[in-house]
Amino acid sequence: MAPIGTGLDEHVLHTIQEAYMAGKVRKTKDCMEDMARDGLFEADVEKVVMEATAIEKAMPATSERASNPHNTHYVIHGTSTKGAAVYCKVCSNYHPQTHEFIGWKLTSFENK
Amino acid sequence: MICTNCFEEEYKTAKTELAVTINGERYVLRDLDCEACPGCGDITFTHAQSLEIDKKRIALEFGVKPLLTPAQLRTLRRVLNMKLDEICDLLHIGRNTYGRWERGEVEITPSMNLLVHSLMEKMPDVRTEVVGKKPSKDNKSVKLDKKPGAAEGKGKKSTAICCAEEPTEYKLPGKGRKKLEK
Repeated sequence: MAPIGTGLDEHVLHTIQEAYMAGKVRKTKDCMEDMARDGLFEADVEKVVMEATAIEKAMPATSERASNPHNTHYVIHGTSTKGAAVYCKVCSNYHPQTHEFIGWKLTSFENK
Repeated sequence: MICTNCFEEEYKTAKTELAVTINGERYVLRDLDCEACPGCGDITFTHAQSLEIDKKRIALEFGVKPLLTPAQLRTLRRVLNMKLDEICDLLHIGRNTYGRWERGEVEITPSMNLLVHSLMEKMPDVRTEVVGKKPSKDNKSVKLDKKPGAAEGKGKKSTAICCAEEPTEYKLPGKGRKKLEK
């Protein structure tokens, strides 16, 4: 994983934060299970996403069928409301044919 | 919103279950709203649905962490070998607060009750001595409903909770909380 790049970090993070504040970031079932297992709540997600100052890009992990070259997975590190080190994975989703942006998805949120 | 897994169908609101771990034991929250793809079955949760699940998880956690009694609080302090002012400092509460809980003058507040339970979770032996129950290690997932037979799909499905051990009456602490009589 590597930082996206000086100019892009802030832009991507700001876009994710705006989407989160608008309630437009969905969670996968895996993510909800991670949170339930690690005792993490929506308040922790909010804290990590909204207080983030850096974001990293992870390798895309979408299936071949669903993959779109624009789909990107990001990792945000932070601390939970209880002070534990946590990280979340957020991915952008684009339609494979129309390349239209569909939305952001939180695919994982757990303790480090 | 179109399914981001198959891209063929729109997500529709549906019901699902979620396993929750509290004190090393697994519980299952049932009848939770989610968005499911009718085509591939992919499940996602909106922000609002996630907040609702949080509420149910918190209610469950309150239920399985009943208010500590004065005797349990005394035992906890004895096991920790702490003076009143030391434990008050640890919990960031007023100098006399813990003493009032121990003497049964007032009930511990629900939020502080959760905090003390969290403290005990860090020390399983202390928890065993205070609450008298050792957290299970194997995360067993035997599903027992509050109402026997409700899980078998007879009639209306139980809205709430399955638990790993014997069925428990879930009651939110704090409701009807009152000053204890001496």
